[in-house]
Amino acid sequence: MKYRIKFSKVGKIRFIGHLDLLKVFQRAIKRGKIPISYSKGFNPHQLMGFAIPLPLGMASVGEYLDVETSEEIPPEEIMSALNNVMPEGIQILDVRKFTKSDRSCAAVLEAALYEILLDDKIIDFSEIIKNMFLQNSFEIEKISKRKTKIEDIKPDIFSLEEISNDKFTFFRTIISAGSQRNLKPELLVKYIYKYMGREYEPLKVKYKRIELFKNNNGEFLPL
Amino acid sequence: MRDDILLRVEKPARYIGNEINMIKKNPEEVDIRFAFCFPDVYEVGMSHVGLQILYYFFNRRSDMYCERCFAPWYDMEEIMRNENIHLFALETGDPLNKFDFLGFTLQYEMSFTNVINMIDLAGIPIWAKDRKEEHPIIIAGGPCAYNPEPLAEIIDLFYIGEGEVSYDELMDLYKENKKNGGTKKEFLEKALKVDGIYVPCFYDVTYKENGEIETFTPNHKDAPKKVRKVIVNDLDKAFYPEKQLVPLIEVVHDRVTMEVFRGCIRGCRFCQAGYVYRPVRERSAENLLDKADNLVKYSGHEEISLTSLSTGDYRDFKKLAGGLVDKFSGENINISLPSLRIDAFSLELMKKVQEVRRSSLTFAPEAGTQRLRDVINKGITEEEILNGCGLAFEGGWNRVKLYFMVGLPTETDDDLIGIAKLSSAIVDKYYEMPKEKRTRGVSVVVSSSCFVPKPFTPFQWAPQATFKEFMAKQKLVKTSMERKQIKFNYHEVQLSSMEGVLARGDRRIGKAIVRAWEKGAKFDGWNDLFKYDIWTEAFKEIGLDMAFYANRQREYDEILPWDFISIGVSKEFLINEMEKALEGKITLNCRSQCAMCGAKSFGGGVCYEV
Ligand code: SF4
Repeated sequence: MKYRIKFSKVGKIRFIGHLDLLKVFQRAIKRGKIPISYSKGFNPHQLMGFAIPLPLGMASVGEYLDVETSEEIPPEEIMSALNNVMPEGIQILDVRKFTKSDRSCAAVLEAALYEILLDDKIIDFSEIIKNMFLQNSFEIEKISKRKTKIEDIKPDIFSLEEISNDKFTFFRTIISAGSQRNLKPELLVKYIYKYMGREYEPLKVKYKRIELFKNNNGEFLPL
Repeated sequence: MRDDILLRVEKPARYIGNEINMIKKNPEEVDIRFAFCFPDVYEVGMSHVGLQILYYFFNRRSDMYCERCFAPWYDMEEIMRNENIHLFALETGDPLNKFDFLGFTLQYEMSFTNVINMIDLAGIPIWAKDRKEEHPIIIAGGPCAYNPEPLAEIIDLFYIGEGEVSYDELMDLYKENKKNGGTKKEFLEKALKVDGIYVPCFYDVTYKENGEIETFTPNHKDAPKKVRKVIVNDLDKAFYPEKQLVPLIEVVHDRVTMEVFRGCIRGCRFCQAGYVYRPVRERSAENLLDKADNLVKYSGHEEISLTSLSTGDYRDFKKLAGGLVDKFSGENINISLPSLRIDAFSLELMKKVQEVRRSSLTFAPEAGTQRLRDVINKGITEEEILNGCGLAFEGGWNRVKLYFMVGLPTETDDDLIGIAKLSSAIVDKYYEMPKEKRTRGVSVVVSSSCFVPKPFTPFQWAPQATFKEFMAKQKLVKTSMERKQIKFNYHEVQLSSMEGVLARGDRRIGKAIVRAWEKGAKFDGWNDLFKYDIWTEAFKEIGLDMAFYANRQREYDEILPWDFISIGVSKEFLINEMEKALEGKITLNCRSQCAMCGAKSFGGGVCYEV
């Protein structure tokens, strides 16, 4: 029996990394007495898979994982059993049974929605963004372990809208995520700063992941 | 801790607390705030079974809140010092200087500089005499408290023995004294009457011209001449937690840990734990099996580990191990069994609970020849090791780990070469098997450490080998290893030499430890962070000779810095053991024949087993 679990990770617990989060879930599943299935072989492990790792330090209210159980249980029971044993900061928001057409959350993931707060008030931010989008491409250096290359990230950005208040510049953006194409939100922010001719200070920008999407005939739907 | 700081350090989760089963209390509603301080990083401290027990033991009192604090890593310390942030407890994030107590556990000598560093980071004066009424009281316990003298001018009081016995009385006294407006000194005076408590400021030491101790005398009417350790006689009646703190990040041991017994029946002559924890006291299998349910249920761990100095000596081992296998094997829970003797039964069991391919067999012969094994009273023979390996190879194991020590009393080149010979014999044993069984080849990993003489062992009078001697010894072992199947590692020589100085140090070396800390020493137990030069300079600057502490033969009638502590085992017994060692005579284990060490006087444990 397969289930999809949606959860949030906020507060101090966002300072644990992905592998540790996996362990946190494994133990919570044990404490919650969820009849999880195990892989076969010499070193059996719980059958579960996350949609995509959340970077250390980032908050999210839209994370997903799939689990496989050996018996059928009502989704609400999984949800309450897990919420009873989760550490502070992780909350199960929804559990649903797989439908026939469902594939693993990692496989169908295509985009992610972020809320990004710049610890700054940038005047005419919307205007700047509008002009930025008049360009044909957004070229920026992408530094990976092995090499540095110039990449165009414009095709990875599906939407970008300002939601600022009087103190801070704040925006929402949907960008590509997953195994096909994946844009780190930080690279986008770096590009925006580059475009504005300002210096990017990593500690001043706050990122929050809001939702993960699959592509349903051209429409983004939550996983 | 602020988010922007957490974003700048490696493994920020070390500093966030909020683990599973963490105790939450309102600090306003308790009388005593106690910070359990572990002078090493989070991952090490959180793997310590003593912390797990005492944390819940203290917190079972409604008038007390015990929180935790670990040594911050370099990156965090730098930020804290730059931004003037005081060391804080994980539960509430409150600075330690607001607490009533800082309680350090002294697990190894090389953590002493971390103790000092943590006190300093908390904004508290490091010398006891400089601390005022508003500062917390600093208490320390753990194995290194059996020679408390190196830290005697830093720590206010030491707890000698097992925490479950006297802490309630001590905390009650503190609470009452605080309520009555008593001073810190008044509390320390009252603490003199509590069993197992040593308050160093109430004792004076004088020295002879040759540097030895001349007198060690109480300067307060209530200070006992001898401080006797306290132990729990009946572990089944003692407190044992239902839960365990479960970290949110990977630590050294991520598992349910159950303490099977305390002490050891064997009496290996180099082993301090084998003497200071006498007599052996066991928990019953029923009790442990019963506790295991909740520990597993509330932790979600997928591994249970039994801890003790020598698990195979547990009388009810079959019942316990079998019971655990029955209870948990259907739930994908591994059972790890360290310090087992290898025989047919244990191999059968290991096959059930572990995965043969990946596990390796461990033996600790400690010395390379039977003669030297008799000297150190390590009751394991070459035949037993080879038979054990033979059985294991037949059972599909192909990796063996061997632990040895160099620099043991009476050691000769033959003993060192014997290490290589024994290792080769194990390789030969593998090749005695028919070819079809030898599909994967054999690997033997040999580790050799440097012997450090410890207080309260028969070897407490023995000189430690010098740095140069150790180097030559390790080299000889290394060059004697000829087989390609054998991998040889040796433990950092400088670290062991330094440990040798601190282990048998007196009150005077406290200044050298502080000087070393001032010069940047910390995390000395970490091989790559330990800086020997700092230590040699520090001792030189203070005017103390390291060789006096480490490499000198002491006489039986010399007053040793830790003589005022009674572990129940008599000095006569230790002298007798030292003499027997020199004659190569063994002493039987407690269960074969009581050697009348003196620990029977506690009135429990193995001494009264029928
Ligand atoms: S008194 Fe005898 S049985 Fe008891 S600890 Fe000492 S040697 Fe062992």
